Amino acid sequence: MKRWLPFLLLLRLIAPGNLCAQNNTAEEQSAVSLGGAERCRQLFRDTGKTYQELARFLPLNFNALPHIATHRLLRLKSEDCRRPDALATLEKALRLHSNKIGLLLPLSQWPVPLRTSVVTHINALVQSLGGDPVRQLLWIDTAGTPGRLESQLAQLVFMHHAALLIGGITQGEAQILGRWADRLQIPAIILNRRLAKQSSKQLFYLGPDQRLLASSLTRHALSRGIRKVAILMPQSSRDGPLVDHFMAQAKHLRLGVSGPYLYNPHDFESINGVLRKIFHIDESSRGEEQLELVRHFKEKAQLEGVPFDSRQVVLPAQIDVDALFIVDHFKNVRHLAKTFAYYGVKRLPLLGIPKWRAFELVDASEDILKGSVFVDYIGSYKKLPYQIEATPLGSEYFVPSNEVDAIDLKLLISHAIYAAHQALEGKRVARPEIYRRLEASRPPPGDFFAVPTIFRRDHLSYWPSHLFTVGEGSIQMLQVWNPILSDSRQDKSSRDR
Amino acid sequence: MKPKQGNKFKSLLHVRMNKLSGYLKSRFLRAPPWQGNSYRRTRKSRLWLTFLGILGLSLLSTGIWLFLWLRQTGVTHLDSSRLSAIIDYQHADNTLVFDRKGEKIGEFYSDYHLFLPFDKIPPLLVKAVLAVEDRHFFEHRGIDFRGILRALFVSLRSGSFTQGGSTITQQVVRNFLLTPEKTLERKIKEALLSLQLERHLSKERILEIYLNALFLGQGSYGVGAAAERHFGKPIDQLELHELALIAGLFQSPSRYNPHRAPEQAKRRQTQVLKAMVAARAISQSDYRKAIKRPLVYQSQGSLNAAFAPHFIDAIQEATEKLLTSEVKGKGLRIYTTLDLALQKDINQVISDATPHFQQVAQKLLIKNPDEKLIETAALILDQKNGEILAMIGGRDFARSQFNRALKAKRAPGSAFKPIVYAQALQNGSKWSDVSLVAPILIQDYRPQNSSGEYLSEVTLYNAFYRSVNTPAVELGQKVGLKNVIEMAKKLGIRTELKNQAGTLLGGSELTLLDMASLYASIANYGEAIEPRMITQITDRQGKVLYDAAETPQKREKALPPQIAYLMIDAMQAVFRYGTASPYAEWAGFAAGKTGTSNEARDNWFCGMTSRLTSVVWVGTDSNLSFNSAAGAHTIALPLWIRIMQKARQHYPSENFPVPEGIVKMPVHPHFGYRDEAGIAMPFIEGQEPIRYESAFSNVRDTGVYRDYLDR
Repeated sequence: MKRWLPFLLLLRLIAPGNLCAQNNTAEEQSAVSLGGAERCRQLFRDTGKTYQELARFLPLNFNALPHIATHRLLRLKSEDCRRPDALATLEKALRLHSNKIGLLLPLSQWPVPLRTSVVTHINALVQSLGGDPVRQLLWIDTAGTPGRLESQLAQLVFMHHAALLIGGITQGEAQILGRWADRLQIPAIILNRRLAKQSSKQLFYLGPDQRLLASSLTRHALSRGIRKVAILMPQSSRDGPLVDHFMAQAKHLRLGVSGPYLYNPHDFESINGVLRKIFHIDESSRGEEQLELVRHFKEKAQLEGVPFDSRQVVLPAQIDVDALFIVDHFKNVRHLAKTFAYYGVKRLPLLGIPKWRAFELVDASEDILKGSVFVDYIGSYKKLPYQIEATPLGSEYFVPSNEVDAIDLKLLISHAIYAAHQALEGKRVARPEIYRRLEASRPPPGDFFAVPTIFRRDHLSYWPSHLFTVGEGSIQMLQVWNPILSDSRQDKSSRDR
Repeated sequence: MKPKQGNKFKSLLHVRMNKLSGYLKSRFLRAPPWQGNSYRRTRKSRLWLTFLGILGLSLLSTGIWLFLWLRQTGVTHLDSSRLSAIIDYQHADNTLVFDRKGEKIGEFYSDYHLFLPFDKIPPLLVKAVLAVEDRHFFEHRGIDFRGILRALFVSLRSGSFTQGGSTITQQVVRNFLLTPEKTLERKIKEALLSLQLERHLSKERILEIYLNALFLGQGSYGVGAAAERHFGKPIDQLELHELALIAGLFQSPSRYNPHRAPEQAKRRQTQVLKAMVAARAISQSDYRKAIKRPLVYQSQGSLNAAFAPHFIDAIQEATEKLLTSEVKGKGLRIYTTLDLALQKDINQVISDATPHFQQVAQKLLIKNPDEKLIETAALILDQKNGEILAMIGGRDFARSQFNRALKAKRAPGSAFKPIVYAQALQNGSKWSDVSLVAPILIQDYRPQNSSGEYLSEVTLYNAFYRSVNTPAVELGQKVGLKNVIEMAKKLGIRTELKNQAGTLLGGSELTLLDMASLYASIANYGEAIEPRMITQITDRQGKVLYDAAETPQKREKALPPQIAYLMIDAMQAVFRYGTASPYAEWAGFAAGKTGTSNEARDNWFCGMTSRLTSVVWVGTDSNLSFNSAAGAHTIALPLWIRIMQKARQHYPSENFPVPEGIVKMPVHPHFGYRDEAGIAMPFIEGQEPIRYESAFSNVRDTGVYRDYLDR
């Protein structure tokens, strides 16, 4: 150690962004006490090699500097662990961080106004938290291409020594980021749901709670006496996980489910076919009924002196479900609702997802939609945290469509930044220990999250679920499902226009 | 005060009888001859006296018999009051129909009359008539003894009564007062009445009556009418050889009817010409020239059928309704709203459109379709006052007299939609309101969209100009069928509408006139108009029997001008972006709407400029279906365009004036938000959209919504 002391002091002085970790953690000390060579080999095998793997994505002109631990790590081999300084190099490389947050987002994939709005808001948030966004945030545009992500990740690690990573807003990026962050032992907040087989103390998953959203619906359905639900869902929907949760919980709650009935949302015949199936319009057992109806319409045509039009003959719907769960956005929901009316279905409880939430859902909407219920991960737009501004549209529950995505993204990223900021503020800790601070991070005060910590013990985030009912030209909040409280609490204060 | 002709005649007879009795007294009551003369002389005198006595008795008894007989036949009672039918003669006259500029366009008559004052009758014709009928007309006093002798001589020579000795005066008397039977009684009456008539009327007047009142074949009365009926031209255009024939007709119009017996007519013409030579009315050389001229007979086509036959029919019906009396031969003068020049142009358009009708016929869903199956009807009217300027009741009046413009009830299809939209706009809907195009059920009616379009979103404006059915039905359902029907009545639809959902899409049959009223009322900025065809009716003396100006129309404010303008603007958009967009350049000055009923059985285009409203229908009388490629835009619209191209030459138009309280702004045609790249839509001030975005738009642009999280 004495041999390396002058070098370490020098490195501390010249290292960009004050790279050095503050203290040896208890884990490091115990590792040393294990016996240097063995510990070194283990660390090298588990993590060091991953760094070397990642380094392959560095630019060709990358110039490794001998005084930087992570760079020296690149030349390290397992056999080097016989050298007394190898373990220290390794440990220092892992501890090393610049206290900066690497934000890996597909910025260029977003429309310019959206991108600008999000970046401006996050910078302002960091500033409001007492930080310096220029020094603290490393904005990386992943452009939605996973191949590019690894190269960017390599640069964040080896060149910027990011303390914490935030990203994975798409499934592809989430997978890559999660895999690398775990192996590199770099804490990462994945802005997505936990993927199968991904579990690590370094990985945190932040975003709407799909399971809670689904359970809000199933419990509501049960409370309304609904016993059987048919699920309608567009092909290639990204809401499969929500449906999976719904089905799982429905099974658990002994709520009957039929479907999902898949349709092509761009093809009316496909939608029509599914509805005819659900409503048993063309069932062969209804042949007699069909003939009777044909006779009726023929007589009517004769009476009115008009030619018989077979298109007018449609059997009335036979409904054997208590509700329909429509996993689609408001526009298709309205088209579906109109088609229900076409088949004479005027009253049938409908259940929906956050994509229902648009002013256009209730603006001159169909009667059948009134009384329908959908869930969302945002309650009132008036009560958004992180100084997220929203322009109310008609009521506190709607905003202009060009703000919807920005609000969703700002909320999500702000929440991650807020957690990251807590993890990095104050006394600096070594990178492998940052996760502990993330685990303890608290949400901002206020009604929105109303939970003690941002993350649960399983590193998934707490996120409330809001249940809305569709009224005459409006929506009303029925319930807020808090992930911690066992019972839902009804928000009686917020009523829409 | 007229003299008492009857008493005068009686006194004259009395004087004559007195004179006769005086003579007989002086002859027979003087002293007998034997009292102072010889016996022979006495015997002779006795014989003479006996003879005279017998003769006297015979004459007396004959006289008594004649007197009694004449008394029985009524000759003794003839007085000049019987002549009043001639003296007070009013020539019969057709009822005439005029267009808005005073051009004669039709006439109603039972017998064809065309009165010509004496000074308008060609002198050559007068000469011809006199030469052949009454050479000494201007010399005798009603009876021409020379004529009688000549006739007698000719008759004796020929052994039959081939030549009458009647003067023109006698013929007038006979035709007006007596029966045509050839009896002595009638002859005596005729002679006596003729003598009296000559004392009451001038020769010219008698001749005028004669030339105008007598039947001359082919339903014509008078020389003017005969000229048109036999030669197809006005009398002032006839030449000697033709006039001679007309003159020859007086003797026997049936026998010499040139249409039925041209050879006899020619012979008669020759006789007349010869008579004219004999009367020195023409020279031998004129005769030779005239005799060689061929006679071309041509019945003048009925004026009624010439320009606007269906309109003329409608005028007759309307006049009879207005005056509650028959109009034929009543000498009425009916002044109409028709613009003859425009009507002629429109007739030409229809006649030139035969290739179009041939193409249309090919779209019929029958084997070997005949172009003649395709029928059409059109109306053009002035929306300011409802005056009908032109009317097409069918393609060929000779083929079918049925007036499709007024009588046919056909389904207007989407051309009915303006009523639904007008009602909705009045109820507070805006053109920027978004409707989702989806199948719809109303009552048990399931209307279809022609293109099968579903899963789209449209503003009402877009739905209107593209004529998407389901949004209109949805709107109609929202405002209520009852209110729509009420609005239809306010806007001028007189035909009873069916209280059925199908009415919202024009399933209830209406007349072309209904549709014209509807569109004209909108074009008149919401002030409903009553279409009309007649402006004034007078009798032949000019006494006004009906005046449209004195019977003002009920001018109901069916729509506020702003709402009417919203409709006009949307109908301009039909040209600019919609079903009439092949004629987009018309959007600057025209507005309109297509209408296609089920299977394109009826194809309408109803439209307007700032001056005129015009409605065109094309279809078949037997309601035949067309194939799916057919529709109002291909069948009726091209015809409407051609008609209005002509109409605009007569009635130039500008763009529609924008009333106060209207604002226009660019709006997204599908999602209804303010969009600089959108299309200009009109709004009532204060109702314009305020949003600059729409979630619908987001979904259309990206295909997803709220999809950034958990992707």
